[in-house]
Amino acid sequence: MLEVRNLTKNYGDLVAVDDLSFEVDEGDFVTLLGPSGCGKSTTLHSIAGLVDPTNGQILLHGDDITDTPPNERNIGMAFQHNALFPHMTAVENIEYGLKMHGYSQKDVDDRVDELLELVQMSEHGDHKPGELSGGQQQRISLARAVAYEPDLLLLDEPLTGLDRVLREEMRREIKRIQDEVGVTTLYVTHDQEEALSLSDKIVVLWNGMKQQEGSADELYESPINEFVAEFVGKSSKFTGEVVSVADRVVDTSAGEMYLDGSMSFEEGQEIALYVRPEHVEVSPSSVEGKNVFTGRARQVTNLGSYAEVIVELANGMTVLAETESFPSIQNGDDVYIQFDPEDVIAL
Amino acid sequence: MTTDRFLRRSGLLSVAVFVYAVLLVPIVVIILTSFTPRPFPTIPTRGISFEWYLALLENSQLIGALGVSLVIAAFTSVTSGTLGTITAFGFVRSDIPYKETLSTLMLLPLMISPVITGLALVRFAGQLRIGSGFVAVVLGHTVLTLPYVFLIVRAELVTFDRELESASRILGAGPVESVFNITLPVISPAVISSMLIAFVVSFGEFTATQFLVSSGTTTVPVIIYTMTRSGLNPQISALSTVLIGVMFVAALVSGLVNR
Repeated sequence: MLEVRNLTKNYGDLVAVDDLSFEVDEGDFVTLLGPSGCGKSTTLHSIAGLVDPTNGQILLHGDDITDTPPNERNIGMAFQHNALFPHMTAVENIEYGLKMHGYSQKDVDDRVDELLELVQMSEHGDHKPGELSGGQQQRISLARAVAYEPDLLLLDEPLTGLDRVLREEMRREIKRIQDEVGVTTLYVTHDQEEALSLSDKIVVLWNGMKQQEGSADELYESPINEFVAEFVGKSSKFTGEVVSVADRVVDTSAGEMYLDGSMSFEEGQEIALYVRPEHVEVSPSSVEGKNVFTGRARQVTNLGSYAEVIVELANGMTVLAETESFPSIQNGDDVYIQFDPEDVIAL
Repeated sequence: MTTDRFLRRSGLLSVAVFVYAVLLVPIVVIILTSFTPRPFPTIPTRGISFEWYLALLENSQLIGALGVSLVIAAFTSVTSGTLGTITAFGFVRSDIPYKETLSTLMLLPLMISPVITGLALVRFAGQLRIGSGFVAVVLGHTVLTLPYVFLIVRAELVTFDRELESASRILGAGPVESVFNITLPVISPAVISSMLIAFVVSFGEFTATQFLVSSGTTTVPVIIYTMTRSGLNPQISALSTVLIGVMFVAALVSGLVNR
C-alpha cells in the first residue's frame, strides 16, 4: 500500500536517511523505531511531502507520490506537539481538513459529531486548543488527522509531550481509534515499549539506515545485530571468544557460557551474547543446569507482580533478572542465576 | 519574595515612581491647563472650564486638521502594516544574502534624524512629481513607521510554529491558502498592534511632516507648532489633550489586542 524505495535525504554532508526501503500493508500499524537523530522523522516528513528526498521514491497505492505536494496526497498526520490551530475551536480544527477536501456543510457537521464521539471529546468541541489538556489536544489532533478518511495516517511521536500515565492511556486510545477507523498507520517513536505494544511490524532505524524489520516478537527474540538487541527490550550483555563450535561454548569474563542451536561462528571469534531478564532465574540456593553463575543481589525493585533484580557477578558484571519469587531475595544476598542455552542470543 | 516587596525593599520603588513622574507630569500638566478658565495655560485653581474645547469645536481649521491627521494616520497604518508584514515575511522565510545587514538597513528611518528624512522625502516627492500634500505625507509616514511594523511582525514570525502551516498543507490547503488561513490569523494580534503603533507615530509626527504638508493637509502637530509661535494659549493645551487622548486609546487597543 505504501512503498518506500531507496529513500535518501542529505542535509549538506549529513546523511539523515540512507537508502531506506520498506513497505506498509493495507490496514497495518507499522512503527519506525530508533533513537533521536536516526532519520525516522525525516522519513515520515518525506512521506507527508514536507521534506524533499534527495533520492528514492515513495509510492502510495502504486502511484509515485514523491513529487506530489502534501495537500494532494490524501494523508493524515498527527504531530509531536499536535500542531492544532490555536485560533480555531476543536470543532473548527477538525472541520478544516474536511472543508479542504470538499465535503458539503452537512457532511462536515455529521462527520465532526462522529469524530468527537470517536475520540470521546463531544463535550469539548467549542474549546480552543489552549483550553484543553495535553491529552485532550492529542485526541482532537487524532480526530483532525483521520477526519477526511485519509489513505494513510502518519503519527510523529504524538505521545512525547505527555506524562507517563497519560502516555499509556493515549497509547491504548491510539490503538483503539486505529482499529475502529481501520486506517493504515505509520507511527514514529523512540520508545521501544510503545513500538512493541502497538505495532504489527516495526522497522528499526539507526544512523539513517534500516537495521531490522519484523514483528515485535521477531525483533525481541531474534535481533540481527547488537544495536537491535540493545535498543529493543532489556537485556544483559556478555562478550567472549568462541571456544568450541561443536559444543557451542563461549568463554566470557564471567565464565564459560553454553549456547543452543546452530553456530554460524568460527572458533576464536569474538561475539556478543544477550540474555533477556525474564529468562534469568534467580535463586537463593544452588540450581541445576548449564549457565549457572553465582553473584550477589545488588538491587531488588518491587514492580508489583514481579521484581527486577540486579545481580553482581564475581567478576563485577551485572545481570538483570526478573523474578516472581522476590520476597525470598533481599539486597546483598548471595544468589545463583541460571539461564537456558536456548535463551542466549548470540551475535 | 513577591515582586512588590522586592521593589520596596531594594528602594527600586522610589526610582520607579520618579521615572513615572518624569514621564507623566508634563502630560498631566498639559491636560490640566486645558481646563483653565483664564486666557493663559495655567493650572486651574478656581474651578474648571470647557471653553477652550468649545473654541476648538468652532475652529474649522483645527477640526479640519484633526480630520486630516486621522485620515493620514489610518492610511499610514494600512500601507505600513501591509508593506512591513510582507517585508518581514521576506526576511524570515527566504534565504537572501546579507540578510542581517539588509534588515539593519530596514531600521534606518528609526536612526536617522526625522529632519533629514523629511528633507530627503521632499526632494524625493519632488522627483516623483507628487509635490507636497496628502500622498507625500502618507508616503513619508510610511517610511518612518515601517521599521516598527517590520520589527514587531518579524519577531512574531520568527517564533511562529511552522508546523501549523505543515499541518494545514497536509489537511489539504495550498501554500498561499495556508498562510491566509493559518499564519496571518495567528500573527494578527502582532500585526494589528504594530499597525496601531504606526497609527500613533503617524498621528503625532511633526519633524518630517512639516516639510511634506500642503496648506490643505496640515496635521494637528504642525498646527500646534504654528499656534505656539503666536504665544501660548489654553486652546493649544486643549488640542494637545485631544491628541493625547487619541494616542492613548490607540495604545490601549493595541495592548488589548496583544493580550
